[in-house]
Amino acid sequence: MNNVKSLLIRTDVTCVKCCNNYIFAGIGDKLYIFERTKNINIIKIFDGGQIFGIVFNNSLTECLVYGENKIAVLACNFLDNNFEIISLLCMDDWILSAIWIDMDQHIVTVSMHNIVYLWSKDFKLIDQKLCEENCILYSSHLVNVIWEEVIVLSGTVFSQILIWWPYKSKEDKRCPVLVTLNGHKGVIFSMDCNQRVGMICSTSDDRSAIFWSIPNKNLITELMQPEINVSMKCSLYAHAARVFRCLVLDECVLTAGEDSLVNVWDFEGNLIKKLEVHSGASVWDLDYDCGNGNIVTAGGDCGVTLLPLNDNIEKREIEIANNYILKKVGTLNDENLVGIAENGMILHYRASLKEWLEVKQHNDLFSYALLDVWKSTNSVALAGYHGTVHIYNQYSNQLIHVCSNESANKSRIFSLHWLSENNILTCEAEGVLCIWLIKYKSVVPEFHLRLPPSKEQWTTCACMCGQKLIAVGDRKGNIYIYTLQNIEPIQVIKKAHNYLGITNLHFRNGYLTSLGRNSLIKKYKFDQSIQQFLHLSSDKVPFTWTAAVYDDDQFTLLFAFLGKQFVVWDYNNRRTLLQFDCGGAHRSWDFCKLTDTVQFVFIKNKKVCVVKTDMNLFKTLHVMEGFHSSEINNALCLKLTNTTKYVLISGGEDTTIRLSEIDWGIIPVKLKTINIFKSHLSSVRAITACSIESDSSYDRYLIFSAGGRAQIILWELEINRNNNYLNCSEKFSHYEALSSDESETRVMDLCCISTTNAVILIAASSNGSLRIFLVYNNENKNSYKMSAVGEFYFKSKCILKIKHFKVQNQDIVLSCCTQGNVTFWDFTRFILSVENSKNIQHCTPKCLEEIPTSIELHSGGINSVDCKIVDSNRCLLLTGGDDNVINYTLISFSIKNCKLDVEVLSKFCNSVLHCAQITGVFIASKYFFTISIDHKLNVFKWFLNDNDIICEYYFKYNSSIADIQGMQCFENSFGVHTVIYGRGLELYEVSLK
Amino acid sequence: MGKSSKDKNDIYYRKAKEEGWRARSAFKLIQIDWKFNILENVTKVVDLCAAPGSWSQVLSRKLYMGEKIGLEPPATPKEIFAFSLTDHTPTKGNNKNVKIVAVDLQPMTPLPGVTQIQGDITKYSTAEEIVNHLEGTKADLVVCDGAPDVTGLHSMDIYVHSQLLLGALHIMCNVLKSGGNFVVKVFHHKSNDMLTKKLLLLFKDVVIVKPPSSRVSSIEAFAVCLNYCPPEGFDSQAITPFLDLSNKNFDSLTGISRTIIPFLVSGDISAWNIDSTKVEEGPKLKHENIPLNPLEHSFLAFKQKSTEEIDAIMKESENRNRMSNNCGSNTHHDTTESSQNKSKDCDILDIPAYTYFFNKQSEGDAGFVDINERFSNLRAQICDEKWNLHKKICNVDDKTLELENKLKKCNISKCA
Repeated sequence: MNNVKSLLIRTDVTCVKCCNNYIFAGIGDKLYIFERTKNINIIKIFDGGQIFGIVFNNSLTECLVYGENKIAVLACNFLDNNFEIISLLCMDDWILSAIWIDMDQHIVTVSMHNIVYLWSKDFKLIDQKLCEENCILYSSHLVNVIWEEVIVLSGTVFSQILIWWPYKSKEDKRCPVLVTLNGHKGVIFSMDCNQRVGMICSTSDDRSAIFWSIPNKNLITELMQPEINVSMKCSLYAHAARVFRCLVLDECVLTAGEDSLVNVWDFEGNLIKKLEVHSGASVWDLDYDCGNGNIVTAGGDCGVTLLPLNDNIEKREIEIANNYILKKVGTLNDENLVGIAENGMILHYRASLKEWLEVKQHNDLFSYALLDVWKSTNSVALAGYHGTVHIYNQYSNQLIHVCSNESANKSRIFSLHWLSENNILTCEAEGVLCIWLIKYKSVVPEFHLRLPPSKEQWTTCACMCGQKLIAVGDRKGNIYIYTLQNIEPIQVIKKAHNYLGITNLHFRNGYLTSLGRNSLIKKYKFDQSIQQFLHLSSDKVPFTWTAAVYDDDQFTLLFAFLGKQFVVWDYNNRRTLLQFDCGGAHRSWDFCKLTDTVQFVFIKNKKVCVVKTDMNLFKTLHVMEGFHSSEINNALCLKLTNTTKYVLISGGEDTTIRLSEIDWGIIPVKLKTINIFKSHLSSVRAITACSIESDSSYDRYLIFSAGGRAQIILWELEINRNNNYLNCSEKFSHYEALSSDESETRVMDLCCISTTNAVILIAASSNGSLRIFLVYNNENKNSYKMSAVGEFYFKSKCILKIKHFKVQNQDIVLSCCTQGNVTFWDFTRFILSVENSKNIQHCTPKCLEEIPTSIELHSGGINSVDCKIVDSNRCLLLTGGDDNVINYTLISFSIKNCKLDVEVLSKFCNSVLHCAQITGVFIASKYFFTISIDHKLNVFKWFLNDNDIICEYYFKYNSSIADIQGMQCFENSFGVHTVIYGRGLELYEVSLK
Repeated sequence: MGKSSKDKNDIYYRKAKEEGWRARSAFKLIQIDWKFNILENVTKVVDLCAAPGSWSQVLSRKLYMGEKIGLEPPATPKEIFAFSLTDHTPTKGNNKNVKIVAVDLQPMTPLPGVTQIQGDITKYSTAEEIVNHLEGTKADLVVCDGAPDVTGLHSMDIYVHSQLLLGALHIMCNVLKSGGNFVVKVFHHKSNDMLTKKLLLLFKDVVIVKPPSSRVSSIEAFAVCLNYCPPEGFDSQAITPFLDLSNKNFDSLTGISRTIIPFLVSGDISAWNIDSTKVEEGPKLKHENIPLNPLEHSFLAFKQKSTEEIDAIMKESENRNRMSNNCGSNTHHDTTESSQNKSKDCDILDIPAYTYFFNKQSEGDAGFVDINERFSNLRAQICDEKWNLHKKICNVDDKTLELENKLKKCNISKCA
């Protein structure tokens, strides 16, 4: 039945293969074909089954695609990009590996019970060979391409690798195991054999990879020896978790695992480098394209990534002549260096000549000097203990003194920062900040500013924000914003980072970024109307000591210290690019991006060290962009006005909130990540939104997200109606730290009700309470306040879902708990009191203290609920629960004795169509949808006959998303658009007649 | 399996440490026992895939050492904390009648009263060895908490587990006495219903439960199979040769085993189809979903109510159905939606479509238990009334006409 069309899928990419500059990736039950990074085709291969392998034949005209117990042959025509399934086979047993043999005439497959099958091209069984050991295999690998020579490597559940030769078995006899390799302590996940180098690599559950050497290189020759001598060469531990894949290339070995690392080894077992991919999710598969030297990886974050195997990293130490001890060092934009020695001598290193040159000795810079370089003009500023400032400039490979000056009170200069080509900022004792102007070969104080008093009253960083504003960070973690006219700051961002201070401020494209030593990267945007910077987001990175940011149009790099190591981190892809030992953070260091290289310089053990790398290193190519790295617990789609675009806000176990844009209009549907927020302390379980003051140019929404540790975060989403530009910023975070002996509750679901004065937010928590918050504008327009006004219990069972609806002029909130009850709370009076109140802070939902009405529907927790108002007093309620039961109930509401009365009029229930928890339900007109962890989307027809519900099962569809957590649907003229989320995300178009 | 920090926050992890259990999974068995009393009057138990031995430990402490291990009924609202061992002190003297056999491939630390066998559950010899240890008698209870090394890809984990389950089923069939119980770990997935069907062939009732101590995030659950009663003539030894799925020649099997074993092993139902005499050779395309077998049960109903309660509900419903049939409004019935169901090749493999009609619930109705499946006999009786009912509804609404026509068609085809 072709009622359901899958439009987009993002889930674990379980296999990947390069061929001819094309990349084939198995995502769910679909094969994605990319030409470089352009998706040219999507072919649905199996119905709901995952793809685990892709194997091309020699002539590249056909390829085998296999997964679970199915295998298909796909005809490939690369000239006109035509790909078509020509045969498909369904076996009884799981297929672990498959290859083409005998000049592409036959196919060999290995099943999970260690049985080898020989097939013709159209899947007629020719032969079947059994091994004497028939235990369960976790992996297998086939060597050689002629049936007579095919050797099977079987990785068993008992941690052994068995090598056997199917052709050698006598009629009807089980084939003997020729070699058993022992060494792993866990199941074997993958094996690879390269006969050119004579090596087998195996990876296992025990976190190790083992290299086995074949003395004769050729496996057949080795197996013909009277004494077979395949032996362990080395056992390697460099992965922090299980190792899933390996690949033996002609010059190195690649291993990849659950810790999202790809490790590169030489044949002796030395780790050459570590590549980080897929932001914390497992690497499921990898392939190497020897044509362009790229590694392709497939990961659990739904991404397919292309990275270069080779990069050129050059590390060297530079000798300093005449035993000068360098105190500070800086790099210029042409590989040259500049340094200041202990005795006040300025040294200039010319890379072309590879020599240091003494420039000038300043006695006032003896034993204490500050140095900073403005890279674009190669200007160097120096400052000393006695308030002196010196400016040097490099012209045609010569460092020339430009000018000097000293401050009025000759106070020690604590810090020195370039603000622009012509301005430097110095910080003197007692927080006196001075901005110096460099003009006509002179440097003169231009403005004075005052740093508010604090214990350690000096600046750590400063930058210009546009033309008129200066941002300054201090040693105590505060940020001050100054205008040039005003000596006092116009804004103080208190405790932007922790007490260890601000390490860097960076301004680009209207956004101010601050770094600190508390793992956070904060972003701010200047609001013209209130002349203040507004906090947009806080991002947590895996390093406590972040040092600097570099960004241009191509990449954003973050530099950080991790113990003794210096780390260059790709901010957009969240992965480590380069990591080297520098000795720790307390040292003079500098970096500069040159035309096609990046240079880092630092002083270690009184020596100057330089690390240089080419830009190749930074060129990670996303064939397919990653998504959440673990389950998505909740996703919310908002339709943009006047376009076919939707905004998707999703949150999950990986604690991130992702803001993405889906363009549903053009096929293939595209998903584009706009922003990733890492503000939540724990997993995100619930997201809800309500629309606020839209105007002609902007649509605005308040978004609430909540989850583990009872944290609720309020965001404001602004959508520009003209260009659909999205802007989302964090506005408020509600989190109450509990004393250690209390266990923290979790917010399971949220629901908000919009009133004229405030938004009422209701949070369902795992301890069974409904917590009610009022959200309203603070005095100034752009900040919000969220105050808790009440907490109500009923039966003290964990509440899984809540929903608000209006029937008979009553505002009703229903809550579903783990006991299987649906409870109806009457919010009418509370909402009225909020609407009419002058002082909303004092509104309390007293009226909710009455015992609410409750009906029992399920024998287990209710995971999903939807309701539809039929008429003034009747409502349809669709629930799905842990007990695998679908209940469709017609309910009537009435007011009896001022109390809400609920009566069940009729009910449809079904317990057989789903065999796992039902996690999503939706009522459309005439149809309803249910979805469950068992991968099934069931569609029913329904109609009402007076008070009778009449339902008919319509059809089912198998989804390839595992652990489905829920769905969201949009009904439109032709049918329903459905977003299903769980371990990934899938969009469907369900056409209904 | 989980991350260590998660484990430490886990209350069952802490409880297990406090009370000296080898693993937190001990609570799963305790909680299952609390609900089903499976350890009552049990003297001979087999624990399959026992290592590291937390389930064996529960069996040893409860049955052999005679400790009273149980859960207190929840007393406070924060009931997750409310369970605890009611009594720790061992009663004097060990129960020598109790025989506990633990089977695993790996060795484990010895436990009092537990005999260990290091053996492979896919081999018949293991079953023989177990019976030897039980002194020639069969077991009252077989438990299995075995799970494979998981990869994180559910489909593969589930498949490997299903193979393990087959091994466990094979041993269980050979060592469990008639009327005995079986508790086995299962994974929630799309072919769960198939597994339930398999188990229902061999047991009177099968309940799938998820004890509170099982992590919500995991897909594990437990099948509690009550009252072992294999069909007469079922030869449990005959399963062994088919465990590796390579042997598809079921011709050696006779009688009921010919029907049951292929289904147990690979879901093959060729022998169910009475009309088909020849078994297709070689592999063939197979649907994932296997139809409901002739025995229809509702384990969900059981989950909620005691047997007596269900009997009462059934009786009441029967009366109600009879009554409403007379006035022609309250009934429910199956219709297969396509008219192709005549062709025997594929249609029995599709899930039948259901259409239910319900109307106003009477006051004080005993709840909303889905016990429809229990009414299969009832359905046969009310089947005659279907036709009349449809005729009535047909006049109701133009919009529904299409639906009704379809229903009619189905009924005609059924009647024919």
